[in-house]
Amino acid sequence: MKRTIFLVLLLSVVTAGFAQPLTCTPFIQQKCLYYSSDRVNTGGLGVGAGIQVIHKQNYIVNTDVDVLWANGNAISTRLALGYQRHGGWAPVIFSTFSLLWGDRTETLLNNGQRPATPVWTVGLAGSVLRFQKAHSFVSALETGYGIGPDGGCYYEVTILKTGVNW
Amino acid sequence: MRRENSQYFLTVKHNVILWIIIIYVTIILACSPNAPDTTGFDKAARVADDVISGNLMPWVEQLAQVRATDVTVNCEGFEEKELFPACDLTRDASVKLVAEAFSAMGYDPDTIALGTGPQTAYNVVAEWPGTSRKSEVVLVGSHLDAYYAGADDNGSAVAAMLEAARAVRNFSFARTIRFVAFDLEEFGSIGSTRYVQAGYADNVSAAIIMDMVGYASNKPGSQDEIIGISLPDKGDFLLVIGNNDSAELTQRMVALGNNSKLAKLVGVIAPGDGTYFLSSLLMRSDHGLLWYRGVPTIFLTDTANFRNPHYHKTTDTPETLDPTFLARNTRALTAAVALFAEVQ
Repeated sequence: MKRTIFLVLLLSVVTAGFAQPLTCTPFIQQKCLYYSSDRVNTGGLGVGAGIQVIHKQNYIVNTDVDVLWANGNAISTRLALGYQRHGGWAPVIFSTFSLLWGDRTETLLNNGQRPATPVWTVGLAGSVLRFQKAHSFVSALETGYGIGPDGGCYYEVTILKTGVNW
Repeated sequence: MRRENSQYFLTVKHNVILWIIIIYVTIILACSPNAPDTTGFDKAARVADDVISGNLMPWVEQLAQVRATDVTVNCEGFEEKELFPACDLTRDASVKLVAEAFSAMGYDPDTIALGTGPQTAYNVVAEWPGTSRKSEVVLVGSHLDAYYAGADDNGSAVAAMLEAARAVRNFSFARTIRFVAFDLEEFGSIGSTRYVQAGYADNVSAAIIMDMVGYASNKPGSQDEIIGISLPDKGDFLLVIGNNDSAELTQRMVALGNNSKLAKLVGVIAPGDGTYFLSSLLMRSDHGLLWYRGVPTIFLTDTANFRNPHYHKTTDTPETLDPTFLARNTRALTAAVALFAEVQ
C-alpha cells in the first residue's frame, strides 16, 4: 500500500509540469552500484544509457538503464527527479526510484519463498562535478544512497555521465 | 512546418516519460515473491522417520579411527598451506569402510577408479533402483577423503549419506537413487569432476551434495557472513545452497525441512549458474562441475570455516560435533531425497 501511494505521488509530481516546454538530452554513463539486504545481494560495475528531461531550466527528470557486472548480470532501471543549478556549473540533487533486475544472490524465507523481482529502492543522489552547455552536459562522480525492502540499502557512483541534445 | 515539428516532438517526449512511469508502476504492482510447491511433503517426511539417530556418530567415529592409521595420499604438486595440509590427506581406509557399509546394507557397490597415477580417484557408488522412472537418477554425494580425523569434514556427511542409504531401502521410489562417496575433494574436487567428465552424471535429474553437516553452535556471533550474504548470527542451521538451475529444488528442500520441523534450514540461491567469481565461495565442493554442466544440484553445509574453528585441523574430532544437529540434518536430507525421487 505504501509503495502504491508513493508511486501515485511520484506520478502526480512528474506529470504536473508537463504543460511546459521540455529539453530532452540522451546520455550515456558508467556506473557502479551495490545493493545488499537481508535477502538480496546484487549490483556491480557497468554501463548504461538514459534520457534527461529539463523543465524550466532547473527541474530534471532522469531515466536510465544500466547493465552491471560483478555477481552475474544485473540490470538497474532508475527514475530520478531532481533540481539543478542553472548555468555552466550545474550541480544537481536527485530523489531516485530504482528497480534492480537480473542475477543476484538470494536468501529464502523459511517456507522456501524467494524474494520478489525486481527489487525496488528509493534514495538520493547528487553531483557537484556537473557542467552543461546549451546542447550538452557532463557530470562526474554522482553519488547516491538509498534503501530497499528487507532492511536493504544501496550505494551507487555514476563515475561519468555525458549527454548531447537531439 | 518547424513549429509543427516542435509540437510533435514535445508530445512524443511527454508520452515517453508517461509510459516509463506507467511501466514502473505496473511492474511494482505486478511483481510478487513465489513460494514452492508443497505436493508430496507429507509422504517424504514419513521416510525421514526411518532415520535412526544412533547410527550416525558411530560412522563418524569409525571413519576417524581408520583414518588415524591410514596412509596419506601422494601430495606431489600440492603446496601445503595453513588451511590446506595437503600431505595429511587420507582416503584408502575410508573407501574400504564405505564400500563395506553399503554391502552390509544389501547394496552391490562399485568402486570406480578414475584417472591414473598416485592421484587416481576411487569413488564408491551404490544404487537403489527406481520403479516407473528408473533411468532418472537422484544423486546423493559426499566426499570420503579427509584431513586428520575429519569428523565434520567430511565424516559427518558420509555418515548422513550412509544412514539415508539405509533408510530409503524400506521404501520404493519412482526414480533411482544413487549414493556416491567422492574421492579427492580436498585436492580440488578431483573425484567428482572426473565422475561428471566421464559421463556418469548424464542421467542425473537432481543431485544433493554434502560437505560438513555436523557442527553447530548456538552462541551469538558463532556464524560468520559469507561474501556479504546475511545469515543468522547463531551457527545452528544447515545452509542449503542452490543456483538458478536448482532454485526450485532448493526452495522445496528448505520448505520441506522447516515446515515439517525436520531441521533448521536456511536457503541461499547463487546468481545465474553459480559460477561467477564473486559467488565462487558457494561452489567450493563436489557440486562445482555439476553446476557448470547445468545439472540441478543443491549443496548442504554447516558453512565450514565460516563456523567451525576446527576446519582442516587436527582438532576436527567426533567430540566437537553436535549429534542432534547431525541427526536432524540427516532427516532433512532423507526427506528431500524421498521427495525428489518421488516416494511411492
